[in-house]
Amino acid sequence: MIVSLLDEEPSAHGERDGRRRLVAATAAATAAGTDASRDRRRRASIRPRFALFGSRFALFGGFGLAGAAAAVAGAVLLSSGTTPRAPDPSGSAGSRLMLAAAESAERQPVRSHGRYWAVMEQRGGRLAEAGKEYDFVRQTGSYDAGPGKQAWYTSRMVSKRYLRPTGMKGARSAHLDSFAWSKTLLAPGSLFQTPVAATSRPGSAPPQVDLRTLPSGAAALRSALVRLIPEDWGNAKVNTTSWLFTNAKLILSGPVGPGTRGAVYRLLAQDPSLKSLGTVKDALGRTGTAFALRADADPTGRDFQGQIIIDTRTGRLLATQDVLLRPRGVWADRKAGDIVNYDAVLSYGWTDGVPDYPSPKTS
Amino acid sequence: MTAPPLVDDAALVAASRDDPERFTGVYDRHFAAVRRYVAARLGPEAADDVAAETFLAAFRRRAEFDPGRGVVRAWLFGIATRLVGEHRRVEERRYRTLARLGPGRPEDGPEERVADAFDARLAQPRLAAALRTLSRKERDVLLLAAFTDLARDDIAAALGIPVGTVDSRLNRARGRLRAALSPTKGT
Repeated sequence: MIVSLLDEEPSAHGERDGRRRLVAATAAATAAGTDASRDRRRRASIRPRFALFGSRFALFGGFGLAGAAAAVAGAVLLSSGTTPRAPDPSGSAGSRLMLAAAESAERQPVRSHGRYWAVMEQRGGRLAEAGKEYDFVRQTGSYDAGPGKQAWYTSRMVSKRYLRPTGMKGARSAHLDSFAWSKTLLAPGSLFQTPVAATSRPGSAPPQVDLRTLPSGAAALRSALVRLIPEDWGNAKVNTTSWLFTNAKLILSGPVGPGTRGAVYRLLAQDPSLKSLGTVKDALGRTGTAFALRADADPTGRDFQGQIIIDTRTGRLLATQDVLLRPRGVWADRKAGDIVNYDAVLSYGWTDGVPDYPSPKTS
Repeated sequence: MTAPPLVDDAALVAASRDDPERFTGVYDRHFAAVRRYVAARLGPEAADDVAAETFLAAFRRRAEFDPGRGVVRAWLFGIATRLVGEHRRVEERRYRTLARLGPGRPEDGPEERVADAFDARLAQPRLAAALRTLSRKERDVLLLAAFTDLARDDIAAALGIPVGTVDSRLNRARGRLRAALSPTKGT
């Protein structure tokens, strides 16, 4: 799907290239140093032409050859996003399946009320902390009693695996190291609010929308979103589809009614960039239908494909995940097709209490 | 476990004054870590080049390295940070692009935690947007703390500032980040 003309893994290439540049510079310096006949053995091994090339390289070097190579690679990467593709026949199947999910969701009964809306999740991903990178799996619970009322976040680490050997110093982190459940009090209502605009003013927060105010019905939801989301989001276009797609998990497992849930599916179904990837298993092994946006509409970035996985028979969202397309950089150790980030929804609904977990002080 | 290096970093740099090729040993030990840090700030495309340039610059200035003012790693990350500064626009564009991904994963946990542990690829849209609200000096300290294993005094050596300044910038940066990430938090 991604057109790649690079036949080797970029970061390995980068390391070799950087080493070549440094060796050229050190060789040049050695050659210059040999005028003082410091090191006979080395002088014999230096070829003068190489040394000359090396000294020019070191002088004007920097972004010389490697820069040109990077520019070429950049051009390839950029062009891959706009390479014309044959029409995807699964597009219409995608919207049919999404509409099926909408109908299932709309048939679900309106749930009885409780004090908190609670969402239990399992999440996996990779974090960097004090220079140590680790893959983690966490379980979390979001409990929100509504605007102006209590909100709690519970979590525990399920597994934590460091990518490289790490000394004891700094191996443990203060906040994300607890394998026992704990809970944190959050700002009232904040768990089911999400930004509807970017901001670049120092220290200021972007405006938020509370999910509980989203209307039901596709037409009403669309006009609400068009009104809420500015066309210019931090100098870039964000449309209702990309906003719905990146917020799919929050809304679809959130405190909204069947009509709003169905409307989300219907708006996604209408978008021509939506496609079905067929039946898949999520990170927890549950079977569902995966959906993605075409590469040029996918806000996840060109190294990843953002997917949402839905049980179309019940209209429930199972998980959202990022699947690796180009293993490089941070993900050079993984292979294309691997799930590198996921949020799997274990359950959602009303509850009257928050578990009695300890509430450690945060620094 | 890897065996401790037979020659320490500072000795390698000192040896490279007379025997320049010894400097490749410094590269082999630290390239991966420097590249990871640069990649976090500038993205994978620019990382290879800027990381390589860091070692070329360090090599040219190897006579200036003073072991009394900090370890080699701090010196290298200091150079890398200055070079990242020269690519301010690349960094700015990167955060803008990432923030553009929209609000995705907005509830990635209580935000006070996010200020310490970062998405390894910095691709948390809200985090990227929040990083734009920091000054460059605050960002330097915060991202050195997050993406390198430098201790506070190493960061001070890397940036040529007092340890107290590292602490105050770090606190300010975390505070701003929390404010930007957790907008409705009362206190």
